[in-house]
Amino acid sequence: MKRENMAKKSVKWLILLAILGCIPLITNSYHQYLVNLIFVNFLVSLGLAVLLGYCGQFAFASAAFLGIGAYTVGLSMVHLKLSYWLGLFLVVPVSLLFALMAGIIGLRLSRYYLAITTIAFTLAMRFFYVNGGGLTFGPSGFNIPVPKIWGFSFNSDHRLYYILLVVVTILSALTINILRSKVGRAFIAIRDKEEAAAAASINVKNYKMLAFIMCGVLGGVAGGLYSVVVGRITPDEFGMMQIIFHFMIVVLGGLGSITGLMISTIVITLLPELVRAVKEFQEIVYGGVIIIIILFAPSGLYGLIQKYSPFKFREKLQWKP
Amino acid sequence: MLFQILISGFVFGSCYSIVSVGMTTLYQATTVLNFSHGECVMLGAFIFYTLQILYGVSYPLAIVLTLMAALLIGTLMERSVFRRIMFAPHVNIVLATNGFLYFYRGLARLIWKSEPRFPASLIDVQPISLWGAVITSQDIAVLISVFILAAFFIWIFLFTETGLKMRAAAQSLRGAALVGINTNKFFSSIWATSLGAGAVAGILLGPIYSVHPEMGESIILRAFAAMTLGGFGNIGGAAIGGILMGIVENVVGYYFWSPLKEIVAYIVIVGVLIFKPTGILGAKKF
Amino acid sequence: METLKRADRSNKFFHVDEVTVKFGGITALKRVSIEVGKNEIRGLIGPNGAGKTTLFNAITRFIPLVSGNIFYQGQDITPLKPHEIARMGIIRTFQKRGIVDSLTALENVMTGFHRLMEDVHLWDIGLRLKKFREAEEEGYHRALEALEAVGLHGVADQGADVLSFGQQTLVEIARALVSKPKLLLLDEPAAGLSATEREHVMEILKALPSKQGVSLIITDHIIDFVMEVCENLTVLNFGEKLEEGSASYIRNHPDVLDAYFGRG
Repeated sequence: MKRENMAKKSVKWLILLAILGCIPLITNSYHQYLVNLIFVNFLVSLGLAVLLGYCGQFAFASAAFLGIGAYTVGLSMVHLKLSYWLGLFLVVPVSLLFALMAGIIGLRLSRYYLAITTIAFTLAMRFFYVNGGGLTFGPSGFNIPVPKIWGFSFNSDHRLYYILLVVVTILSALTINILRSKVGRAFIAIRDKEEAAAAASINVKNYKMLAFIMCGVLGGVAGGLYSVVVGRITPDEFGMMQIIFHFMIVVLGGLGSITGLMISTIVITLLPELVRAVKEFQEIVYGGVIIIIILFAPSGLYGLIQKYSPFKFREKLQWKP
Repeated sequence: MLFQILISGFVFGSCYSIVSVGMTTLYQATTVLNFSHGECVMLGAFIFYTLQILYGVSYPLAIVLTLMAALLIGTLMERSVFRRIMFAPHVNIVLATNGFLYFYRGLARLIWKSEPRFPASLIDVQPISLWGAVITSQDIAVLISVFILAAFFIWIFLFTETGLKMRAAAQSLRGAALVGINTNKFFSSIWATSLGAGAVAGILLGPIYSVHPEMGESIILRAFAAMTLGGFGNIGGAAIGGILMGIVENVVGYYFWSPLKEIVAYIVIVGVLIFKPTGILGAKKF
Repeated sequence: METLKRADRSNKFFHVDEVTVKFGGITALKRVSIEVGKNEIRGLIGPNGAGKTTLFNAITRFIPLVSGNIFYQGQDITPLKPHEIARMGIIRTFQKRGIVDSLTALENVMTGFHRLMEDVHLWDIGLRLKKFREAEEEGYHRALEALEAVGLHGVADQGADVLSFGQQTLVEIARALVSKPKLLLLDEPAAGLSATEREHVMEILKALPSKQGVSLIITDHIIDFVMEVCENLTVLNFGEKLEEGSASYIRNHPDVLDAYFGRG
């Protein structure tokens, strides 16, 4: 019985993957670029969702890790002449290290220390990028070489897509697996009732650190992918202003929901394209939308789906055999 | 030269203190940490600049009008948003303040565009020279204002009913509610006060800092550093922390390396959290 | 004070030793000492504000002690953190119900099983290895059984936020049971329960020592409930131990009645 279920699930996922794999067949370069951005945004937002949505810890870290990933890949390719793949691989321990450092400092006493530490962290990293001289190429940034493997060059948006598809799918699957287990339940318990979590033998401090590290690693890898999607990295893309995108995605999707996250990623990524005409209003709209969601639909799209759908829909944090 | 550095640092530091005390007061009375406070300072500065420079309003009148605007904005924020989400999970409240952060920044960018502005100082008198330091009229204005404000705050805190309520709320929010302090008017007035303090800081900082839509970011960072340094949630700590931040920043900027001034705040935050997380005067935990 | 009836004479199973707790200027607990034996059901009663929940918080180390120690099976557990206390098998419930609103009733109960899933690591979970699947399945079935055992049928997949206070109480008890506790601290378990639910819970609690080797400390205001379930009672008043003895001894003790109802 269980084998059958597992086989059925696998087939479903393979079909989904095959469909996703066909996207480049119907898009032009620009549309493919947007799709690529959606994948990148999903990965970094997933990291923020784990920390903020599930574990309830407020941190301004998503853009910083995006930057760390991008710069790690870029600098290792340009200065150390590593291949893109090695650079991407390097992102994991580097992000992990930064997350550990920031987490050890920030996860203390008042819940606001993490927010403050991560703001300081984000701005400090930016300072480093801008004033790093020849090492970080300063305020104007630098170009990323094209990833290659065995002579095959990923020199188009369509080709880059397949890297994204593989990496994002694998990492998302791992993350979602982790969330649908005692870990996810522990996160939500910490978010909603920290004392009850501790009374259930959950080591709150360690789990918060775990959530932070997951946010860091996912954000870092997303940054590594982002660097080649965009082709050029500059310090301005990884500051406080970028964080609002990720916040919006997580909040709009609904704190603690993957389905909502998928939908909101698409919406928010494509939004600037729709709102392009009224660019000056962008920030006002984003800020206003966040406030409106908090006021009227605090459970985001997920909450709205639950409320208005004809059938029962609930994302369970269990693994059912 | 050292005296100049110290005076200058004290002046900036006093402004940081006003910002930090404004934030901490709100935090103590309502447990809300207003991440958009830096933008509120920025708005105060812009409104003052607009009144004074663009409409030629006299300095004192501009101050009054700016303060009234700030009180109004604070009350509106509380009434329209924060009153309704008072009992929501903390994450939601923090997100709401962040929403305001971006909303105000976008608003400022839209209305005033992005070039920095410089409001004029109070009196156009010659700067005075004291012990090798040059003290401008703006510096004096800041020092006098801070003194008045401190006196005003202490008076409210210790000798009025509102102050009593604030102290009660700071000691125990639940206890305060039990004795009937949890009135909407109280919360509105706290928000209004916090924004008012922010506006004052904006008015004072304008001429010496320059006014532009992005100034909120660096201001709030310094406020956080000041609050962390002095003891998070501690009003006295916020005041002392602010002044120390101003002085340390100036000292570092002059004696070490000018760009380093920017990261003093980060170093202070990290340093305090590593070595003495409760800060100088001790943090209040919520 | 009367010498306590105890099923098992082995002393020092659980020993609260001269514990003092202060909040600001107020002394909430003053040199309180209590000894609970193995497989004993102890009631903790006293008027409002006597310090019962404070004592629970002190025992489970959610609050610091000004002085005193707490010993469990001979070990000094005073320096431990709350989650470490829980790991040792000392499980507590909360007066306001420690229910996670965003999880379903079943998921709430499954968090009780967290304690028994310590050796399931991150990679087991991420890659859905056998160790994880078996542990999760066991937890799932145990949780379902526990929900049935406390009398909750059909609410497993409902969000905990839509449950009544009484149902939430039962969920919390189920969660405590699933974690295979050795010492169970129940804070007002009868509050919010209907008469039938109360009867049912009484039966379950009374059977716990003999069936599963659990000791219990129960605090509640519903005196009949406490008298029925507990063999011995400790009475607190104004943060101090007032009296201690068997249920019958306490029931009619003048000082206890005085503390609750006042002289006159």
